[in-house]
Amino acid sequence: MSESAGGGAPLTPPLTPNEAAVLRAAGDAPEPLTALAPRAGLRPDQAQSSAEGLVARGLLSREEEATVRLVITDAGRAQAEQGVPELRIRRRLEQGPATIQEAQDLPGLDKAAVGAAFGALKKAGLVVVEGPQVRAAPGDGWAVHEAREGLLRRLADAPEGLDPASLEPALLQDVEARLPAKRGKKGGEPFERQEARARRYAITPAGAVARATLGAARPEVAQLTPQMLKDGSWRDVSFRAFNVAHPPATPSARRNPYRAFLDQVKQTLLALGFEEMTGSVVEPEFWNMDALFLPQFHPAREIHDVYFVEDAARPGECVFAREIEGGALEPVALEHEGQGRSGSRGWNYAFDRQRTKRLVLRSQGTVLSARALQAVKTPGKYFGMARCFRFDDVDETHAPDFFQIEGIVSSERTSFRHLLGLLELFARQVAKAPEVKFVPAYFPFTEPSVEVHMRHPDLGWMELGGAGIFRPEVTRPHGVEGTVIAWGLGLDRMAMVALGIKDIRHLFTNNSPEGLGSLRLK
Amino acid sequence: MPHITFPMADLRALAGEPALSLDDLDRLSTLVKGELKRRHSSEAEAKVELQDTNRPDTWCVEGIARAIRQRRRGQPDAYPCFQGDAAPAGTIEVDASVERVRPFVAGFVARGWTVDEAGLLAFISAQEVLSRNFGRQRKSVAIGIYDAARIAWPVRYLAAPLEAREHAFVPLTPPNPGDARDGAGRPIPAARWAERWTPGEVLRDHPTGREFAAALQGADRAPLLVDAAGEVLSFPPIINSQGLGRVVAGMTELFVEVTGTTLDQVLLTANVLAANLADRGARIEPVRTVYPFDTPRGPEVQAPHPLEDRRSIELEAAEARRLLGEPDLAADEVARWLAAFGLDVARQGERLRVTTPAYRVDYLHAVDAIEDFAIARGYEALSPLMPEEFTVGALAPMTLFADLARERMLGLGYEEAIGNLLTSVDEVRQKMNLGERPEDAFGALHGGPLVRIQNVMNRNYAVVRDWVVPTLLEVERRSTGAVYPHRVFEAGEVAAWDASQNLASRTEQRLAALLVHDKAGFSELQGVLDQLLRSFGLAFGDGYQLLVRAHPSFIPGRATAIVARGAELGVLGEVHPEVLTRWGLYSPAVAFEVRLDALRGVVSGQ
Repeated sequence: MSESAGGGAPLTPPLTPNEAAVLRAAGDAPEPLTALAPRAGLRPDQAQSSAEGLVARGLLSREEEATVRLVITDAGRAQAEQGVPELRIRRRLEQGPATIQEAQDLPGLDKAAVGAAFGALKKAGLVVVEGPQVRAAPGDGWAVHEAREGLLRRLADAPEGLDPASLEPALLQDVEARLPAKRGKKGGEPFERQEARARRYAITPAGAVARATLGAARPEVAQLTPQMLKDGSWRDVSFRAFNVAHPPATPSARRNPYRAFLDQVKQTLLALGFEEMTGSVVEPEFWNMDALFLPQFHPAREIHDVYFVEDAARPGECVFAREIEGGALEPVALEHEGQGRSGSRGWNYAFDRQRTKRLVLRSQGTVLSARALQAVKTPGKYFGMARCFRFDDVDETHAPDFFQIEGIVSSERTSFRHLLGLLELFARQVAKAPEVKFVPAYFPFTEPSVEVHMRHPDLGWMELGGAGIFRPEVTRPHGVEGTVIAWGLGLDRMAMVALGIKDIRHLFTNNSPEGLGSLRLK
Repeated sequence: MPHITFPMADLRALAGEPALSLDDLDRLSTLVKGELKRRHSSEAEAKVELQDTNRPDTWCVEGIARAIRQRRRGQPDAYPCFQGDAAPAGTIEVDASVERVRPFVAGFVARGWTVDEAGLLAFISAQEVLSRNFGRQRKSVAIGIYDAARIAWPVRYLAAPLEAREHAFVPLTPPNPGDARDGAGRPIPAARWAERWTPGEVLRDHPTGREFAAALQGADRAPLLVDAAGEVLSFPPIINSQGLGRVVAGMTELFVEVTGTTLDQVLLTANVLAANLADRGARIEPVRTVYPFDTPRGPEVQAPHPLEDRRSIELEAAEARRLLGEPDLAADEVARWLAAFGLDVARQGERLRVTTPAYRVDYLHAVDAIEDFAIARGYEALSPLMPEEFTVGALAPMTLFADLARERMLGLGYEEAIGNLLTSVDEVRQKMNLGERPEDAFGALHGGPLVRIQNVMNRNYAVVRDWVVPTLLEVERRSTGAVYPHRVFEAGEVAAWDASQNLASRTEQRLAALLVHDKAGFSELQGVLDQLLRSFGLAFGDGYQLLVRAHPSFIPGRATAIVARGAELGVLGEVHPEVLTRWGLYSPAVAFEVRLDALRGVVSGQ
């Protein structure tokens, strides 16, 4: 491991080009950015953050002063161009006689504002109503409006505004009456008051030292190009600092997390010496059930337990395999009927040799083991990860189809105690849970049967799987004389915990709520 | 698998263990392959799930108590009622008319036990669980219980026309008669419960009749039990009569009958119920059934029945030693534990003859007794042994090949998806602009016809996918929130309909990829496919070709068949805007799908 950055002195990054420019332009006397920025070749807003950066490094000093400025509003700008309403009314009346309505018909002005101005003029005696006619009267009162119009014109060219204290008292009173009220509607007022902090910057002694070490300004580039490398011009440029605050979104290629989980299990089984079995998802009842000694009248074989395959040529009808391969049918049928090689009493019924060929969607991974018995090596260890299908409502505990992980161990020397050892090994290697307990269980094709429960690091006691020794009725029809252990692991819940999901359907990308990227292996 | 609930007090009384705790039960329920449902249990009432479908005798509080009792005493309880030598308390005369409908009936009389609430509840629980889980919703087994004191013997078992008025009877009133509705949804007036109903009326209008009508499996006649006075006992497997068929606490003479379609199943059920009532102190008296037709056990069959031909097996102690992996196990120890498990054991040296009690006939082979021994002694007595033999682990060749392809797709920047195989016709056909006729097939990539489920439960999961591109489009439909561009692939199984195959189908491995972004085009994905095939040694031109070939899922002129050395490997094309629109996608998409089995064949020169 390399040394981490923590603990050492904080790194001082080099000055950005803008910071260098501001530092060069800064003077010994405090001055506002409006003065400083143009000398640095920057806009005041660009210079602001650089100046603050330099303050933080102790290269500039800053003083602050609260100021009140009077600035023009958009409405004020319009008045600066077209005149204030009072003077516009006068100009209108100077053109000739007018009615009250005509006197107030001033394009571009709000009726209420004109009305208020007209009312005030009338009250001050500056306009006189004579019958239907209105006329302007001379008077000192006009002066303040003229002064205000002049002020507006000045303010229109002074974006920084001006200090209200510099105004004549009469004008100041008039202006203050026209500032937006603190409360109530805002809108047509020509002025507003801005309270600002004026910041002024000056170079510090440390800044002066730093400035002395700054090189001459160099052109700044964003991207190194092949041309720059060829002609060596990279020596004459500086590279723009990058922004690390926003990593770009980059699509990633990765294994599907559930598949990755299954891959891990597969690797573990390989390491334990297991050989993989694969098979068809369509199987006859024979391999799916009969070869596993599940009697044809068993309640778990009714229409509501397995999916039958439909004959594409005869809609609504089931479809059957033409044959059961390897001559396995008759020996298995005889076991069911109590006449088989194992010496079993059998199930005491007439085995249906046609029904056994009916095709179903594989409902249990043990099918692979049943088929493997036809050519099993002794000793041999086998596993399969079989996609299985059950007649069930699809909900948060039932995916439309799911994986079963199971297999067999065939040996002359193996015993039930070896089976328990194998299960212990699975708990340790596959599930990382060293503590297990064994309880009796029932599976139609194994005797003795056992369920293994383990103490999962996160989940507490849970079922890891079921296992047993294949009944002789299952092995003998295929000529297998030795002992065959059959085992199955239920890993879905473990996968769900590892992936942090509560709905089993979400293990599959095409049934997960957000599709890609919704699963992350914890 | 059955779940049963019972008062702990009843279990303690039957087991003869007044201090039995829930923890004790948790431990001891392994004797009956039971699992205590902790969350639904208390010291007052326990819920247990029973696993062994071959041991219906364990699906009741009496069965659990029996296992505990016998293990404590170390020997089987005696059940004289299974000797088969007592004189019958009555006779059931079977009429030939039931042969086609529900041929078998067995019964017995229980005297000397005064019905109490706990016993009645336990009986009803056993009755329900047995007829549901063992009798397939009463189809093959149904149970009735009656006040024997008022029955006039012999009882007749006959099948009457459904609308026969002469056998109309007053059926048991359902638990909430006020809420009951008839078959047409009308309320049933209170007076109706006191009237007589024909069997047909029961099936049509009585709530219980409607619930269980399916158990008759469409028979056009109603099985009836009628006593010598013409009084109807019941209409099996549907309902008892309100007269003789209503049992309450305080009664002291009971008649229990079981009807069904398989004689031995009927007899075994009667035996289980007889043992249960005997455990409560009843004296069991047999009833003889006389058939006018032949049965597997002759024309006259008495219940409880010894079923002696199905109860014994021979066990060599060596076989137990070998199977369990205990070279030092003594025959005597096996015999001792089997006796404590309720089995009758006769030992001759190394050879044991093990006989089950008549309430269980699940011994098919010596291995069954070996497991009973292991359970009786407890699995904790078996110390695990590590596997001793060396074997070589290996992946299937196809898995290895698919894993290589997956790795390469990851290296090419594609994210892996994993899809379900069950899907809808809509997804793999209609939305893909395809039909289901044979001519809608595209080479061997996908068919027209599909592997369809005959007993569909949900239309969304009615077929097995026969290509993977639709799965990826569904993934894309759900992924519009993920950062673009989308580059996704799946290596997975499909099943294609193929009438020429023995299994009418081919299960194949596929690799499909989908590229989606604003400027997604043919050549970008073609480059990916080319890299993939090149990595397997197939170069464009000599190794493989792309032949422009129309496919309705892709833009005309922009769909190609991937062909290598004469084998059709799959398809590459720009997804048709019509297809994108049907999926609700608004970005161009390009896809390919390769048949990995065929590719592997080409690569390995097969």
